Amino acid sequence: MEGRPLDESDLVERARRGDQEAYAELVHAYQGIAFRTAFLLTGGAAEAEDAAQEGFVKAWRALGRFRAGAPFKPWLLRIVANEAHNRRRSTGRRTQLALRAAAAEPSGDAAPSPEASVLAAERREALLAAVNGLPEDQRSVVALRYFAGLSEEEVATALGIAEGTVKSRTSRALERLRETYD
Amino acid sequence: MTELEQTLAALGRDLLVPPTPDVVSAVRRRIAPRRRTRRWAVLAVAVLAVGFGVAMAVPDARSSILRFFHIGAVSVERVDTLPASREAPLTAGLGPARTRADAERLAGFSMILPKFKGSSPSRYYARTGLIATTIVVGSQPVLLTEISGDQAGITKKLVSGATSVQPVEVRSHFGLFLSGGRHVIVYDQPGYTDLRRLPTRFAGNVLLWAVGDRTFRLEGRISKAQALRLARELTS
Repeated sequence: MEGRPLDESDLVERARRGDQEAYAELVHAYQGIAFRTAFLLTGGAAEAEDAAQEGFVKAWRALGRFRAGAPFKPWLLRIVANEAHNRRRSTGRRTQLALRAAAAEPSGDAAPSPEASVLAAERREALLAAVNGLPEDQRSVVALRYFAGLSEEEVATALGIAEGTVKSRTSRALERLRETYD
Repeated sequence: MTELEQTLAALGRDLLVPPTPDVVSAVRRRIAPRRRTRRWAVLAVAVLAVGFGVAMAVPDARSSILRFFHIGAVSVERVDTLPASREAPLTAGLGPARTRADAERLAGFSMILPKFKGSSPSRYYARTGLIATTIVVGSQPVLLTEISGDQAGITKKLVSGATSVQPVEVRSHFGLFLSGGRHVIVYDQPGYTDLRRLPTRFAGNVLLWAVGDRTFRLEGRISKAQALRLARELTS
């Protein structure tokens, strides 16, 4: 995941004045988190690519409405998330998130016993299945908060909900997940 | 962070997420100013339209023009050899049939068309910037495609001499009617990897015309008169 470009506010300001090169730098900096966010919300690579690209184009067109000095990332991610939701609704399917095959076992300094590895892998698979089974509003919050690494404030902006709503949905989701995990 | 939250964060690092596609170049293309180009294109079309009919009637002239020709979001390209193609249904590669509302949501715009005299179509197909639907004309299916702006594009490839290209007018809008011979259709949407998998297929007779930022295309076993009649009915 990319961080915030060092001269983000300068790039945004130049982009607002129509500088396409400055905007291309912003796209380059944020395409990773935009695609990941869209993927977490759609579960499909093609839909995510589509949503990310469309989100960047719509953000460019909406730069005139962007509040100077505000953080660019959550504002952009809100547009991308909207696009992702639209695409998921239109395809009518909800793809399940999955673990990389090589990541079935958590890494660690000491090699765990085969039994411990199997148990740990099962636990992680069960936890992810529980996340996949969450109601959509809770799943989106959990995915963006923990899988995309966004702050509560960024999740709130990206999903267009109040920060308090993010907290309450996270709390309800964790309560459900704890039943699987504990 | 609780242990559960830490485990969730660790799960996030191990999720099966496809590599990030590079969307920079596609976004660059799409945000590049087009108005000037489009204005020139409109002027070029107007100028070409005057000489087109005369030139196409002369075989020597016919071979020297139309190497590449744009009408709205559609390019007509004259090639020496057609790319590998296959016979396929009109809607091949356009994805599943949808309701009009779903198609408009996916395409990102509302259709101007259609205002049909008969019963309205119920099956729509969409991609960003493009909506297609099938209608029946004289018992034959006809594909009607509407493209908004230049987010999506279509390239027609034809072999000179085999395919006839005639300039037409649809309610004062310039158009082209392509018929006879084999010509192929290639969908073009820069940066969309799924479109690269679309089949290149042989196309039927085609009428193309553009109104404002919309490009319209009718394709099927349809005569020039039938296509023009339908286009005029659809174009207000």
